[in-house]
Amino acid sequence: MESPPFSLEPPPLVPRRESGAGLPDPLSATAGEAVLNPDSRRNSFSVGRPPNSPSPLALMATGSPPARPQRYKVQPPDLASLDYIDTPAPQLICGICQSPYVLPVRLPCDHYFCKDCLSHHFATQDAGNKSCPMCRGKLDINQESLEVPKIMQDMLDALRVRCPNTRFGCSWEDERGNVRTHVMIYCKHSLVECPVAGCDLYCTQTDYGKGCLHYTVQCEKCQGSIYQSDVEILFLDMKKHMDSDCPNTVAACQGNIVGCKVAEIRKDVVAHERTCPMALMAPYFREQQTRLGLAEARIGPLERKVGLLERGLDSITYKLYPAKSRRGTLENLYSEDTTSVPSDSIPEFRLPDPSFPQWGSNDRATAPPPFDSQIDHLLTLHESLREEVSRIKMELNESEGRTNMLVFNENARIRDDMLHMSGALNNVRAQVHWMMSEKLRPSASSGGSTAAADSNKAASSNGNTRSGTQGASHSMAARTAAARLPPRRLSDSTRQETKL
Amino acid sequence: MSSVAKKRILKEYAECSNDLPSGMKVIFDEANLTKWDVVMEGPAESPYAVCLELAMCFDKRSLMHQGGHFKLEINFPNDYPFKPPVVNFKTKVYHPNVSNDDKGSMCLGMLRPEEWKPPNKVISVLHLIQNLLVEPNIDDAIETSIANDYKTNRAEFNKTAQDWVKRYAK
Repeated sequence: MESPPFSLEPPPLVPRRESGAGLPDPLSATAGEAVLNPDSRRNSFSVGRPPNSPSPLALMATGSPPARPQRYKVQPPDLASLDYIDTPAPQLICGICQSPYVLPVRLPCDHYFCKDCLSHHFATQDAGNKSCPMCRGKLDINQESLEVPKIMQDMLDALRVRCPNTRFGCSWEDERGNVRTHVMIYCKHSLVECPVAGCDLYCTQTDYGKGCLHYTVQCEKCQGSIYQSDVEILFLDMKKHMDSDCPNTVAACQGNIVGCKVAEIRKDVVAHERTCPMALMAPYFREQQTRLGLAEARIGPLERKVGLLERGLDSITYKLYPAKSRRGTLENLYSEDTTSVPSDSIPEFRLPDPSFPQWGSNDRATAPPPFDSQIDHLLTLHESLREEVSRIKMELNESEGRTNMLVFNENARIRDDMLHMSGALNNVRAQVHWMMSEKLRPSASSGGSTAAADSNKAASSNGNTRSGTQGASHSMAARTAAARLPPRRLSDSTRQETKL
Repeated sequence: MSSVAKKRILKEYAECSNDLPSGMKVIFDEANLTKWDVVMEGPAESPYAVCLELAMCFDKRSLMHQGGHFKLEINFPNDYPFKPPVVNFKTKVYHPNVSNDDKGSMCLGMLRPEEWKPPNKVISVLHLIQNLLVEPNIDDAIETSIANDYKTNRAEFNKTAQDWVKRYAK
């Protein structure tokens, strides 16, 4: 177990309870802080005496005068040392302090100065021989100072400033006219008089309850000392001090990133580092490490990219061989594609050599990929598949055109046939119609037996003439028969002649 | 030294670092605000530039660095700005307004206590010094012999001044 981070000096003389019995809160808080805080603070400080006041613990031990009243007194802000956010107009700047006027005074010669600056100036001059700092005009010191224009005061009040307690952590920024109110009432970081009587120093309002912090603490290792009250502010600095400066802290050799095991107090390590070859190489290795880190950081996005490409490839393969993609790995897909894919549809297509490793298994060391990288491989794969797809697309287009042509030709032929058929059908229909009307006419015109006899007679005569006189007589008979028939349509008669 | 004076000196330093006459450099120690070291190059158009002949031939700007380097010291009194700063040439210089001793003090114009006004700034002092190197102020000379030389025998004056520059103001 290492020594307690804070060793108190002088050691507590009296137990806290006895001493703090009659004391108001701030003081007992002091003791509490001083004794209990060590555990909460990491760095190793030893506590010394307050600079010009007895130790807080000694104060308590003697039951010395109680703290100042709880109502703490805030120091009014020093307007002359404010930090202005914007550069003020030159007309508002005092010639003596080169800052914007604070409580400006107007001299009879119409020159303005800060009240304080002017009194400083008068202090350097002989009595009865006062003059204006600007024009050296004689001044009567007893003369009433002239009124300063209101607009000037307003402009000064409107200048934007930072809180004077910025260095204690306040981030307030506003017009100068509000500074006093802010510091006196609202600012948590204002300096107040130390709560412990006898201590003349100031602490920030937030630390008021912690009692007197104005004793020095020392870095236990190197005896550099700071005020306890500044530890809050310098806490980070102290950590840095421990980490990088303090010559007595244990530190490791610079070469430890390469394997140097030396770790001693910093003084010795510095001496060691001059001779240690590993420490000499350390900057180089550190640089390499940062580069390695950068490279590793870039791998992540690339891996995601590979994943995307892989998925794209999968979907393309699925489109190409829908039946196969269910079977899982690309490898057995490639091994079987020659047998399963019909060779006439994509005759010369081969996927690239399937000997690259599985992407799922991260075993890169044992099976180096045949390509420069998996991405290259995937890209070539992707490219060949893309070409294949476009080729197939062209072929499809071509065959579609061919089929279209074929169908069209066939169609035309069939249409011709159908025209012929319908013509023939029409002829048949006309003939049938004619024959029907021939048969129906006699019975319809004479009715009864005479119609039947007539038709028989005509038929027999018809038959006689055909057998007796041959072609000519036959046409004659036909004409007579036609004459007897109701007039036929022209188209019908012509049809009859041509077709039958 | 009062905090007012410190504040003012800091302010003036900030101003100087923004807007210094060309060829000047202020070396400033935060631990000791009251002493400024100034390194100044001899203005090219004055005999205090190292190669006056060259300066005539070439572009002036390229010769900026050829001037002699003069070291100055500015000391601020405790009741600055109510008293003038004290300017001393640490480098020996052949000039009517600079005392020809190991102090190299200059005391003229606004630097005189009775002439000094609190609103004057260091930067105007620096400008004054630079202008004096180009054109000495004969009527306000400390070294009357040098002033005489300057008045009556300009060529001799220039020659001696350059000699001194070569000898002291490397």
